Amino acid sequence: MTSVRVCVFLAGRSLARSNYGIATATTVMMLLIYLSLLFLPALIQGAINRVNTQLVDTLTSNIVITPTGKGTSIGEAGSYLASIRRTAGVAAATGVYHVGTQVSYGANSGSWAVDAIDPASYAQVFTTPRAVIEGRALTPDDTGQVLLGIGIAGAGQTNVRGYKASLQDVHTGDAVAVTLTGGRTVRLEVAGIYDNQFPQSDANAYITVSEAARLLPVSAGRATAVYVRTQPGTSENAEISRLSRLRTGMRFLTSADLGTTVQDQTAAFRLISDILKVVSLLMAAVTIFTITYVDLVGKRRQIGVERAIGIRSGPIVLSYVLKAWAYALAGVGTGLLLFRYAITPFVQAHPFRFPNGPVTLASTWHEMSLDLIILAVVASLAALVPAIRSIQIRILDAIWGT
Amino acid sequence: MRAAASRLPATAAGIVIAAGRHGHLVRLAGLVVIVVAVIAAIAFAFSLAMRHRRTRKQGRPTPAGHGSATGTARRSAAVAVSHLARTYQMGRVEVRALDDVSLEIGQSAMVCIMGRSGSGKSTLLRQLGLIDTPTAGLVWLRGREVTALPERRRSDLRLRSLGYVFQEYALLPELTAVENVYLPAMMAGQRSRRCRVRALEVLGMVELGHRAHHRPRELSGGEQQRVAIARALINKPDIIFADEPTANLDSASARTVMQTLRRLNESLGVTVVFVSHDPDDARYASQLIHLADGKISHIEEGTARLSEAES
Repeated sequence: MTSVRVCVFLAGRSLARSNYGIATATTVMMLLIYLSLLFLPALIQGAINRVNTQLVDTLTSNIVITPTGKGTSIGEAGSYLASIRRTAGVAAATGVYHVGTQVSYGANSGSWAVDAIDPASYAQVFTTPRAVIEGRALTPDDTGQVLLGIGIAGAGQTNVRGYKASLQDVHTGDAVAVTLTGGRTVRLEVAGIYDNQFPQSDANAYITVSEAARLLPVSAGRATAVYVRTQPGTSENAEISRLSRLRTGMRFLTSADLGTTVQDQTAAFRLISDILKVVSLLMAAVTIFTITYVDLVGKRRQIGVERAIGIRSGPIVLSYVLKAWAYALAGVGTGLLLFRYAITPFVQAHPFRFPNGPVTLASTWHEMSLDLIILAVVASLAALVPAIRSIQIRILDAIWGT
Repeated sequence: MRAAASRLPATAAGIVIAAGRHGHLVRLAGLVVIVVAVIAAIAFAFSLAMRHRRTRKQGRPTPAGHGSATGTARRSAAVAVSHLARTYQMGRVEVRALDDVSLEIGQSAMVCIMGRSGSGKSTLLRQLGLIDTPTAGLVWLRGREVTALPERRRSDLRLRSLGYVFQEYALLPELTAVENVYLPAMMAGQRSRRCRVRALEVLGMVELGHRAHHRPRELSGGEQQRVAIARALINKPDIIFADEPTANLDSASARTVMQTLRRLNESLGVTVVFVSHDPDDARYASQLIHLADGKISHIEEGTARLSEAES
């Protein structure tokens, strides 16, 4: 207890009466390090969140139900969807029937998925109908109409990813040839073009289920897959457990199960984020080490005198660690407030424009406080090394400066 | 995509960190802590090795047989040394600063160690004050052999039983006079309020009560030296060691400092051992120990009294 009192006394007086310029510079340095520790990982997390949201909103929803075994489609899809919608935790559900594999326009053609959807329920599960950039989204009564993703239509936008592989210059009102799964080719008019800013979902084409029933009668009342949007806060595993009781012979997959390509990307992002964190922490350690070392070199004689008059080494070392903590916490505390209440709201209002759309900063109190603790630990260790070193030299050497 | 709730074990230095939802950060924190801990351990081991090497070079203090200090004399003496030697390694040259010094200093004595520059007087004072360790010989404090005590015990003795006044004042610049004085009392475990009251009392003894809240840079050399004396007195030591306490002072300040030491010696009965080469300072001593070339050349009984010295 005495040692703690002495170390707090020494550190407190030293901080209160130290050179304010140096103290401010050190605090600002720690603030910048903390911000760099938070900023890029938060931006990367924001990008990851954006990718994950796009995956769920435009491609996989929360739960995808497909038939198991030899079955390629789900029969009596209407009644199955009705029972799914009545299940607790389900916000919306829609069925999709895969009707085509190829779309052509003039000399250009390519293999893309053409799905039959119920526009009303599809819009409840996915955001694609709200991402139309040209023309309009499908309505339930549409016949002879197709909705194309920008990855298929190209729409003359040469800056779009995969433009060369697309049909390049298809616009609303143009007629494209769609090859159905049976091999039959039909001409459909482009009702609209959507852009989800997500290449995986921008390479789809949609027709209405009523049109599909006309072109491909076998699809009537059937679905290749059922997409389920769960209510916020619902556990996907618990929901799967409930849904699996409705009908046997079904396979349930989550967005995490399906988004393996995206998972690889996010894993790469996380690795980069971790590397950046290590670099920032090393910078923090070197900064604190240097500051403490320079401080100690200047106070070597003072430390010698303190030891000569009977002050134990422990309180002397701890006083320097405490000072390092004070600098670290002042910098980090200011950085925390700045990040949370100035930088994050600013980026929220003016998001970064990434290729896959606007990205904001994503960080939690938990992560920020963990970074704070890590930085405090690194600061203490970085201060501890030179402080221990300085009290190990002989008292006379310390006083004489030899 | 939600992170899989996998548990990824990271093993390092025998520590397994179970990583949960925030596995990356936990592993990262663990890694940084381990890296810095390893660096610290290497630095610590290195400094231990260096210290060991230095100690081997200097040699451990060794008993040097019976000297002039008899057992009875040692027991009654405030401080005694027997066959004390101290050798310094200056590059490749070995300098023998003290050579076979034996003496006893009685309780409540006021002793001046005199000698030319390089005669070994400050070196002797540092051995007596437990600030340095002799190469050979033994040191007793109030009959107790303290030569080879571990640093923690020596530090404790310096804190509670000894006071040390340096030539260059050696006050802590970030503390006020009163804070400089009460720091050793705080270290000795006294309550803050009591420390402050006692520090003001001791500052009053050296007639500096009115300068208690000034920082060292705001005090004159003589005042700083008196604050240093007050600091040495705060824990009611048995002995005060002063290394050329008047060397950097003008004659008036030097006289004030010496009068203060003499008064404290007489009024409190505290033993004072000081180093000086100024004959004026020697007048305040009850005993003069003359050193030459690291040996005691002769010991002279002083007859001075404060009043005589003042006159």
